[in-house]
Amino acid sequence: MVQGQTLNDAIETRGLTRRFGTVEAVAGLDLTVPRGSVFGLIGPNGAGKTTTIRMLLGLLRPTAGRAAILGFDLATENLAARARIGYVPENADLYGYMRVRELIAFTRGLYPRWDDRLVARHLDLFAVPKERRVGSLSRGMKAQLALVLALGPVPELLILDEPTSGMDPLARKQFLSTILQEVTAAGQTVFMSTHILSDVERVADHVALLNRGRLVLTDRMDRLKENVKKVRVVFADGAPPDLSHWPGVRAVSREGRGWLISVESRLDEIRRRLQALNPTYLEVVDLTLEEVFIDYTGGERLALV
Amino acid sequence: MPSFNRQLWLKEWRENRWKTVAFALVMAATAAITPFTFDSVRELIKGAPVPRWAEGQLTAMLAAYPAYVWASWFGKSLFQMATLFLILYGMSAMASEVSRGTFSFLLSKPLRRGTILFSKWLSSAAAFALVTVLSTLLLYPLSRAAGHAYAIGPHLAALPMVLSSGLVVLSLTHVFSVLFDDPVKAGGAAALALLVLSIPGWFHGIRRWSLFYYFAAGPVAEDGSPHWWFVFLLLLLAAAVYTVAQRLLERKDF
Repeated sequence: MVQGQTLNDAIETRGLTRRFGTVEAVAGLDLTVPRGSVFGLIGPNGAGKTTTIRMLLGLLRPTAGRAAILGFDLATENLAARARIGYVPENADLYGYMRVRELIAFTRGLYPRWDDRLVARHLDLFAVPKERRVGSLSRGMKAQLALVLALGPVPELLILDEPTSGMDPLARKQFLSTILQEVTAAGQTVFMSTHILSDVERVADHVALLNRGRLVLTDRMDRLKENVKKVRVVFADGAPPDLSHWPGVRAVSREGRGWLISVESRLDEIRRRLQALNPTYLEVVDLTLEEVFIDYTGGERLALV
Repeated sequence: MPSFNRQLWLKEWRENRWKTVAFALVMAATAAITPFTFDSVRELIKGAPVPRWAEGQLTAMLAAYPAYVWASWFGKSLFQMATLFLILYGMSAMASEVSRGTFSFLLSKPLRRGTILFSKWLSSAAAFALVTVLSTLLLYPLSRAAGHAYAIGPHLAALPMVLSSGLVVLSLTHVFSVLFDDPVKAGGAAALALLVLSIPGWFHGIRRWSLFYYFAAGPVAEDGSPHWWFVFLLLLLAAAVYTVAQRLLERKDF
């Protein structure tokens, strides 16, 4: 077990790092995914999401750091961890020559436990034909089949790597509904990487943002929406020179005659301090997850001169 | 001790089934043709100019059917065709899983990498052994049906050496199948390595240093003994080469 891990954590990483030559794909990742949560890992392309997942699955060895899944140290107890994980990859590359029922029978033989009734129910739900060759299924159907196979062993942790990419809106909705209704209701943990932020907003209760291999933000979704805001302000007598260094202020940028302040915490305190400066205009703006994402990945901290 | 997974073994058996059918058909056809070619080859050689260096070998081979059937079956057809099919089995073992993207699916399951490799290796080894033994046995009744007799004892004595040499070749092809993510490159590299290993066999004085001398059951041809000591050493070599493949697989990132 990774030092400091509690039994409530589904995933715990400490200083998890992966380098490819001189490129640091994941840099010192400290991540905690609570059991029973639906955890969205978001980030732009190349942020290190898939590399993180591949390390968690044991496909890729970390250059440094440690990780534990469901209390099992990945360096020494990888097999025990994988028996409790369901995994849906970005491209559901399955054995195309097999019929759906054959692939299910094959996968069943690789796990110590398997729920046939659950698999039959999910197949019906997604209307995946059992006699069709896997290779002839659409991309969306393959992803649905991959989800059915991942849920077959009744995993304690479901890892989804960009699961809905390439799906049409209807298939995406159905896929996410299944996760919400079936998986979270059963108390299983979902760890989902995606760049489709509306998916995360819809299903996740926790979120982490990776950028250039580094964790830039991790919080509960409700707390994130409550804390991360923008404040638009126009000062009568100029901005305080130390504004960008106020506690809770993440970034400050100029916007016309006023200033746009990115706040990551202590909103009430910041608002009080701003009001004390008698601004001519002050507005607190709620942010969508997409705006938070853009703010954290594209914004720069500007020093006030 | 390597473990194997039955489902994976069956999947490999299924994926290799057409290769196995082709291997079986080729060997059965060769076994069927061999007895009928003896007389015609002898007639053909009689009137043809034979180089002096080949004269002695040809005379010994064509003197009687037992020598002919040994030379054409163990000395040529069996190990050559088996090598080709062992490369075909091995090149697709790991590399094709990677190239078609299904290896991540397997690796995310609660399977040791060693179990995946061993299940695949065992499936190919079983197909190779089955075809080799059955086609060698088939040669006997077919020869008798064609009016030729030979003692089957030395042929049975040769099989352990042929099989253990084949396992060395199979393990070697698995090393390249782990090293390369493209089955064609893996097959090409394995073929090149085997070509290099065959070089000592081209020269009479050092032919015992060639793996193919044993794959052609050379020592058995000399005295009819199974040479268990060589068989043991070949099995050790196969295990050592297999271990290299397993170590490489365990260290590889996917």
